[in-house]
Amino acid sequence: MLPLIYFQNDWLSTYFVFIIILIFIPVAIYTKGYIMEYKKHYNVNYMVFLIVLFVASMIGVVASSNAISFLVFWEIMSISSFFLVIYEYMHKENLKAGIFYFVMTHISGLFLMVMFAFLYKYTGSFNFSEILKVSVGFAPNQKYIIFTLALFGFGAKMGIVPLHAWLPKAHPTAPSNVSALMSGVMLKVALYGFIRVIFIFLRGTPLNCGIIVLIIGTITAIFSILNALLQSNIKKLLAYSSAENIGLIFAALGIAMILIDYNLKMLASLALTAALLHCLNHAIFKSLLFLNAGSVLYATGTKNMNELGGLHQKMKFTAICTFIGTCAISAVPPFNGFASEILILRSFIEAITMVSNIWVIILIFSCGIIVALTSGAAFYATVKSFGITFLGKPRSKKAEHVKTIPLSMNIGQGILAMLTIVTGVFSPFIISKISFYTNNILEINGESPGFKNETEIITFTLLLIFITFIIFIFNKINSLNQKQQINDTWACGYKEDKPYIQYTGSGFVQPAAKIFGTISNYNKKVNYKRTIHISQTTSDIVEDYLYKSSLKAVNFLTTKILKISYGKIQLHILHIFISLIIALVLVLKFV
Amino acid sequence: MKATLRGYRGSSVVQPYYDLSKLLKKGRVISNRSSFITTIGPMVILGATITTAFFIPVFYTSMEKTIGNLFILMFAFGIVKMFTVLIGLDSSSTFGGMGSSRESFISMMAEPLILFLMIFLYIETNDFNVFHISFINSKIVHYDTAHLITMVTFVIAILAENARIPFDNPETHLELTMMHEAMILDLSGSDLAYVELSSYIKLIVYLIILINCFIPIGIATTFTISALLIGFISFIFKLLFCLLGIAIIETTFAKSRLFRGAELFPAMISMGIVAITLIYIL
Repeated sequence: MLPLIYFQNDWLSTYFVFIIILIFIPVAIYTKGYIMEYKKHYNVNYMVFLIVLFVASMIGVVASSNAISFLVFWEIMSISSFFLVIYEYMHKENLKAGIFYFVMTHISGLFLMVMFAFLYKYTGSFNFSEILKVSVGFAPNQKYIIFTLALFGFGAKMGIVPLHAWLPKAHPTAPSNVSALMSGVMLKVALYGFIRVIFIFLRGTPLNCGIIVLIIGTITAIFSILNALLQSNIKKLLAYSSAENIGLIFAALGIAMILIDYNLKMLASLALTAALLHCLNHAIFKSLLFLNAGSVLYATGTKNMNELGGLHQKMKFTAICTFIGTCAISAVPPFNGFASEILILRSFIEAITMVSNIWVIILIFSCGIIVALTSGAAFYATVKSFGITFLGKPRSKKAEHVKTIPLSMNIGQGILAMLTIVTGVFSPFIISKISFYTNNILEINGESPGFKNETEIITFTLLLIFITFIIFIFNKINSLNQKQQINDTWACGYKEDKPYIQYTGSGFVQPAAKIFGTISNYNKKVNYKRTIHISQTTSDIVEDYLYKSSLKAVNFLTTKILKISYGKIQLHILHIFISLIIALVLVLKFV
Repeated sequence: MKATLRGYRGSSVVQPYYDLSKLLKKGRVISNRSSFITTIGPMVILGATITTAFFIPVFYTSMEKTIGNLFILMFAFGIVKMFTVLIGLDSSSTFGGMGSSRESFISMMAEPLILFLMIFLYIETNDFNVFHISFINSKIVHYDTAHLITMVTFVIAILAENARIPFDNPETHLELTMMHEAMILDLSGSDLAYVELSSYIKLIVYLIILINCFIPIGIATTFTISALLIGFISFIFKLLFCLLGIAIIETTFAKSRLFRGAELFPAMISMGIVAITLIYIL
């Protein structure tokens, strides 16, 4: 009898299992405290069970070496995450967002099933090791089909642009520890699938595929970060920013695919390393930021950053952790985000000099420029989310009366913050480790590509700490015989400084809203009714135009169909008969 | 220098340092709203800028150096940016928020220019190390058009990153024109001294990168006294030339509106595309 589950241990699986477990431990510790909030209204055991099931199924997906067990675990993962998203089922909007997510994951599952069916048809096996043996001889046609299906299947789960709309809906509704797992880990699982299919099964695709992946990745990055910029809901901002990071990883994968096609495997290995490293880094800092957002939610009860502010006084530890996460995501050395950011930009730049086709060069150049703009915008967005939430003065009553955060939540955040620093400072070692295995994947014999000068960051960090320490001592000596005053902030001559004279989150991004507002459908209305009010709205243009119009089309079609079949049993039998004949003809003709 | 161009006698060259020492002697006033950002921020800012100064060639370069990665330099200025922007938001004043918002906006728009600079230098020299770049480029006798275009682009980026005219006026404290000054409005005493000193150092570091990447001619490549002397003199001459250029720009241009200033960046990017195509066509 065949065993149902096949496990494999090649490096790629091990790496992703490592990421999952690395993130799961702090999140599990955090969950212990965070769950207190739900004890009153909801069943807590149910959440714990689902989280464990969710993580176990993700490990199953990553570790399975057989298409069937891959798909089974994939579905378990989708369904358990769906139930986690609608955990707060008493709010009606949450159910709506949950259903949206459910539909999207099923679209993804459908495409994957078809993809594995095609793989089975071409290779005659569900086992990954046997697929691997046959897949060398794939014709370009077959590669195109598999690539397209993988792009849609894994892309819907990852949230690349036309299919990203579930991310900003599902993340704000899910409990924060769950969204940390979903954004930090589940998106990576989808990326794992994509990398396995493209780089290990297909071993390089036609040039067009690489170009498509590069363009889609870049568009995802810029579109979602500009959307993130204008959000005032912390978790929505983070959700869009996850989509942005996925876009960056995707763009790096696109570069790798293009380079494999040009047979520049050394460079392709660099780009692939960049993508894999960014997977790890993004998993760490994004789950850290989601946990921080959860702490803010726990303490104040609101996710709207325009109501927050001044939290650093009462939530000092969370503020420091968020600061570390913010530095990491906006690529400030020596935190981890910058290491992968540098590698991604480097692979862009080196690709420009090595590729011979002028059009491809111009494409990579413009994508690189957009990626750079994206990293600038990421800085802007995350500074907004940290600065407005934690610094300054409380903007509302909710931000003044803050609940204390349980120790276990702080431990969870602290571990992730430590990981952020450790993986940042020691990134050279991690890079050389990963690049060794990416060389294996791309079948390069010989040394790893030139990652020279990478240890410089350690020198830099040590020097930075040393010099800052000297200045610190100098400052202490200097200020010994000086008095230090603590005063109110100068309020331009008014008597007291009201909290509303501060910049709000929406005000902070006003320059960007003015220029890039159209991308996120930004609207500002000024109402004059005794007092002046400004109402600002943003919405997702892809959702507005693509999804709603397709829904309309479906509605239109169903009303038309309703005219033909309005309940007469004879007509229904005729329909069944006709479709049976069509199916028979198709089977006889094409199989 | 700016004063001479404007036709009046300016203060002496050491005046800024005199101001700094005066500030260091003063006690500091902290807002009761401020957090750990304001307490440690100024020191980290100064530390980061001094650290970057160790990683660049001044008038001597060689191929053996293993430090000086351009990426790390550029991202290190990210530390400075991060802390200045957060200091602006920290004191809960309106000006701070305004300054931070504008600064992040401008730096977001300037990011592609920095990337373009690195792309160009990599195409030209096949290296990311500042020392190596200046070593290779010091052999160039004829500068081609693409080189000059990129240089202009980088000058614009320098003006934007260091809050000079036409993006920001470093001299005034008028609320409509401030960016950098607005963010540090609530600092005082030694904190202000650190931030001011670091902004001076930052400008010089950027200019040195400009000089040594684009016009490194005359830089000492061997460790002999005569070469070092020539390198030093030519370096001083080039630095003064650059500062004169900035002074001319500042006296002849007015500070433009925020969005008008931002229009410069897309223009510069299109120049960049022209430069890249020029490399491949010529």
